[in-house]
Amino acid sequence: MPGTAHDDDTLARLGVVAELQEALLPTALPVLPRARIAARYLAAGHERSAGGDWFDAIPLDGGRVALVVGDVVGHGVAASAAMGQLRAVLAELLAAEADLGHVLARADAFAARTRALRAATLALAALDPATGTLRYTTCGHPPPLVIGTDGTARYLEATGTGPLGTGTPPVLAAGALAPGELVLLYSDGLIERPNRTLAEGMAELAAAAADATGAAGAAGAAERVCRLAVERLTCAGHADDITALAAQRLAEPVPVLRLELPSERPSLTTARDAFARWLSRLDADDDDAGALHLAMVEVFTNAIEHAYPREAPGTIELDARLGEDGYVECLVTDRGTWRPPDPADADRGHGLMVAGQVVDSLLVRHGAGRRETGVEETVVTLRHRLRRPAILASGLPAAPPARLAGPAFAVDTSMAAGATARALVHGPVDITTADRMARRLLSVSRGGTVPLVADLTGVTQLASAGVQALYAVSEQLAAHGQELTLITAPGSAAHVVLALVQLPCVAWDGR
Amino acid sequence: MAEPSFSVEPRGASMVVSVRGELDITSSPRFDECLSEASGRGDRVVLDMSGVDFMDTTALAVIVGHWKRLVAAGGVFALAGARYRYTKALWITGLADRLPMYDTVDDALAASSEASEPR
Repeated sequence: MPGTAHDDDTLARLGVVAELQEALLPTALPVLPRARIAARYLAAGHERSAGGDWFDAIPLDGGRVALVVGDVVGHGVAASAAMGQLRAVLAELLAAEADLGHVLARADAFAARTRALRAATLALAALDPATGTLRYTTCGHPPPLVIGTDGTARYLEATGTGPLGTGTPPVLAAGALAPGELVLLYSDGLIERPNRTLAEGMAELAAAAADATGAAGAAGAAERVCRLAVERLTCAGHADDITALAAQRLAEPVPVLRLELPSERPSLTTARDAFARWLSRLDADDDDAGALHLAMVEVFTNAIEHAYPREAPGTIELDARLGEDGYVECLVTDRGTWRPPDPADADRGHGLMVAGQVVDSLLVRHGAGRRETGVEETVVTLRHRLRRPAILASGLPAAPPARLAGPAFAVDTSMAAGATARALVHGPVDITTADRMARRLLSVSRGGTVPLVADLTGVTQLASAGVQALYAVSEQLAAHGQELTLITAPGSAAHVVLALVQLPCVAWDGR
Repeated sequence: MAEPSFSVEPRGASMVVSVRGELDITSSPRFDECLSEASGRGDRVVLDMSGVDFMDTTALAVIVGHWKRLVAAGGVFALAGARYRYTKALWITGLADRLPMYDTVDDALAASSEASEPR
């Protein structure tokens, strides 16, 4: 709230809460061929309200997706931790159990058994974007908003049951989204306005959301609704957490890419142009698009150079699709005879390794062709999950308080005897420095090919971006069968956060 | 994809090779020629990568080849301004820790002239 003074203790508590929340909330949303999903989350800056709002977008089988927004009673660390638990339980139930009714009954039972979760509210909507069917429930939570292609907005009827764990089992209702329509789930922070009734708040939200979609059916509507509705309704400040989660049912699914090109160098340019255009239609994040593009170029170039003998060129096929599971699958196929890379050509041959490192998986398969029996073919399959960032923002004051002044960010690296890389990380590891840390760690460990000891005892702050960077580095090392050892000071924030997110670390007691 | 542009300019005792655009196998021959021209004109080469928007391992191979040959002949080879986002291959292969890398061409030139100071 404007004008509220925060003392050091409060800020310290708020900092921990904000970090916990950030670490436990989804930072990425799935990207699907028939639905566009976006989210905005704004944490309240007031100590008494921070913690408790949560959301998730979970892909289900058959291309369906479950959208969830909830509110846990209470504030601070306890609320954030409880929220994290419920989110994890629900995600697991949705993955394991096909019957949505059973999922909700079990989540309700879990909440009833868990003190911090009693009276937690929940709105859940499972969307099948292929058919537009919506199955939803509102447990003590305001109902989802549907915005039509004509710019009108209507609220779904609440299913009338109370919050979780209060003895009223969740009830499911059915709705439908026409192609191009959008469904918005939100927390009550978005409709509770000072000096207005809840009904007035809901009317304001409906108006803001309808305006934001503009020409409904245009790409980016989900993103626009979340961003503009939150901006418009919080411009006068907000006392509570704000969550908005929107999904648009696409009128046209993302198309498949298919090219067959001669195995010569100019084909790479054709393939790159077509692939870049295709990627831009997917609403992929720049990082994901960049990774897929680089991997495709490496694999395609490899085929041009090595698939066929110079005197008997052939063709190379490029196939790409975005699956209902949110994974891009890109296949490069040639019908030449597989030749292992020339060991004398030591400077080349990194291509497939680099490709395999930047995307989630790379598989090479040699054998009989799928279409023509007797013709050998080599298929390299790249798979990469697309994610879009969910925008999380904290209501904390922008100017960092004095307690955060300390050592500047730095990473000192060396190669110890016995070929173990060592890195000493100082200062804050947050969204502005996490990338640099990852690069230094990756580089000193020779791309993950030598074991790495990273001493984090000098780290003054480890935000979620830092945790993600450490995960990425540990995955890179694991891919080469190398060990990552993280050292933290016991009782430090870094130690607590890493223990919470299950990244093993060694406590250094000063000896 | 537009073709990349190259320039080779002397600066002090070094030859600075600037690249703008995207590097892949279609531009390899020109890239290679450019670096050959630079190392033919002097034994200190700085490769300015600040304008590189894309780089794959074929470009990396060209760079590594020239670096090794230059160093074997007693010369100096440095990279300047490589942006991680567009030149990831350098870090993924660990070469960023072996090739001399600097934030700017000026930094690279300064380091090169320091190295040549009489002991």
